[in-house]
Amino acid sequence: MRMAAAEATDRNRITFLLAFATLLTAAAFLFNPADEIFRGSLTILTSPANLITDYFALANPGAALLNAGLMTYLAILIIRLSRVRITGPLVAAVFTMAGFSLFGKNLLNSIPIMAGVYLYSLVSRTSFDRYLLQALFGTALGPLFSEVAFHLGLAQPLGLILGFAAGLFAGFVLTPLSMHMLRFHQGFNLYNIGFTAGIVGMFFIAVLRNFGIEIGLVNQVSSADNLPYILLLGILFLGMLVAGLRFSGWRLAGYGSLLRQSGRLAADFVTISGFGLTLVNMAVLGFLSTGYVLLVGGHLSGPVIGGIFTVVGFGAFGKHPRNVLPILLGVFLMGLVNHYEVDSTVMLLAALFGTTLAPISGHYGPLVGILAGMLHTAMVMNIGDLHAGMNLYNNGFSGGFIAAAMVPILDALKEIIAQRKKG
Amino acid sequence: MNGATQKVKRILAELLGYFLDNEVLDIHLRVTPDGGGHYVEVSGSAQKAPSDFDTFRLALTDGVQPEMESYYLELLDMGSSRDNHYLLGAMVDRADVTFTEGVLRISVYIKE
Repeated sequence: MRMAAAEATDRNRITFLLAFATLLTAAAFLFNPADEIFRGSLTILTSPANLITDYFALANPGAALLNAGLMTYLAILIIRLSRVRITGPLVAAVFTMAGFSLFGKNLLNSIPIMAGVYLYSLVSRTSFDRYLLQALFGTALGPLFSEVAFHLGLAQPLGLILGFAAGLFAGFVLTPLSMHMLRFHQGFNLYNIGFTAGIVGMFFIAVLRNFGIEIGLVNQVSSADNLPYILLLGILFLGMLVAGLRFSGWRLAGYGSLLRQSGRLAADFVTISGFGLTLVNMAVLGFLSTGYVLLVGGHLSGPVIGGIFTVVGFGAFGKHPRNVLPILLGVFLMGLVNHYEVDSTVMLLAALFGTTLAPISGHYGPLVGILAGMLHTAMVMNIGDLHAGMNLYNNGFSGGFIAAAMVPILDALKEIIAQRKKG
Repeated sequence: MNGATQKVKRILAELLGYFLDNEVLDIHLRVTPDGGGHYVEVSGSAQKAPSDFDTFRLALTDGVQPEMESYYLELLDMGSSRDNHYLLGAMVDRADVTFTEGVLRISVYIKE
């Protein structure tokens, strides 16, 4: 609860997010000199960005980290301009923005989506702050802009104009759709906008393919030494752990209660358990998810670090070790029997982002969580082609279908069991 | 039915649910529209305060979260009661929750 003596104020929360953005930006210059970062940044801004385009490989780690830092600053700026409190969902959105800016999002391809959401708020005569989450998470469709602007062979500025129009339209329609889609999975898929973005991306690709334009998934992933990234993540998570403990008065009272939450939308841990304990939870998830990647022998590439950041961010909005571990185990077990290597990038991403289904594990128990992780692995490998990687939250797309299919069956079974116990 | 009316109906249903779940009797309900929103007051008699009264009061008075409104409107009647308390709290702009002399009284203000 919000009773810790040293509870963080909104200023603490903003300071923390700014520190995160600054760490990413500063780290960029430890990896590459300024001229390489500048050239790399231009490459990032002017290249197609559909899944899986690792900016570490496309450009260089410095440019990718700078991109992530700048996108994090942008997210914080938009939140501040909207004059809302920093809550769990917004922390999750900022970390997700940072993570996906290592593989697909950038300043150029995100702004049209945000503008589309803003346009919707104007047309519907509603305050923009109500659609803040759609504006931030909706940037999952950023590759749509990049693809139209830079990959269809259109002359400039026609490509840029059409790309902007596509992004604007996607942001506009995403907003009402995302609300409707919540009922489809009943709040059991944490990446709700990922599911919606998958639907929007699927329609766009269907239209493009209808005109004979072929767009496929790519697999451009770096495989550099893990050590510098382990240090970077270690410093970040250790800092979060210490800050979290400080904000919660160096006590963990209440963490047990957080761990008993199912995590189902909309479990805002910042509101429910306080910012201090939320930061502790995020740090623990950071160590856990990084540990998983290293334990199975994976590489800390841009997308994988993006996945870790997203797990950490959702540590403020539904995820905790108790509901995440069964999903990780389910994906791992499926990896032992399917034809993908457990340490391959796609399997690592399935594990990290598969935790979108953590509420299923939290609500129905760990065995069901393991099953959800296994089913998700099968589904996510099969579904990306529908939107050709235009939706960066492919796991959210898959997770929506898994939750929508599992929840009614599980509820029906629960009901049958309860009736039999009675009768 | 416009969005504001729908929001008031959902919140009212949730508040009534809280009263009924906690066996609060003789429930009185008052909805007063003003220029920019609605005042909603629900009161009823009970022998003792609900067991989760403190949690409920904290959840309800935590402050509005406009960015989450769509989540609340869509999910409010789907989660567990504890989840719903926080959803409810984040939808109301002001709240006052009291239990005195056997009367549970909840007053909320909902901006349009």
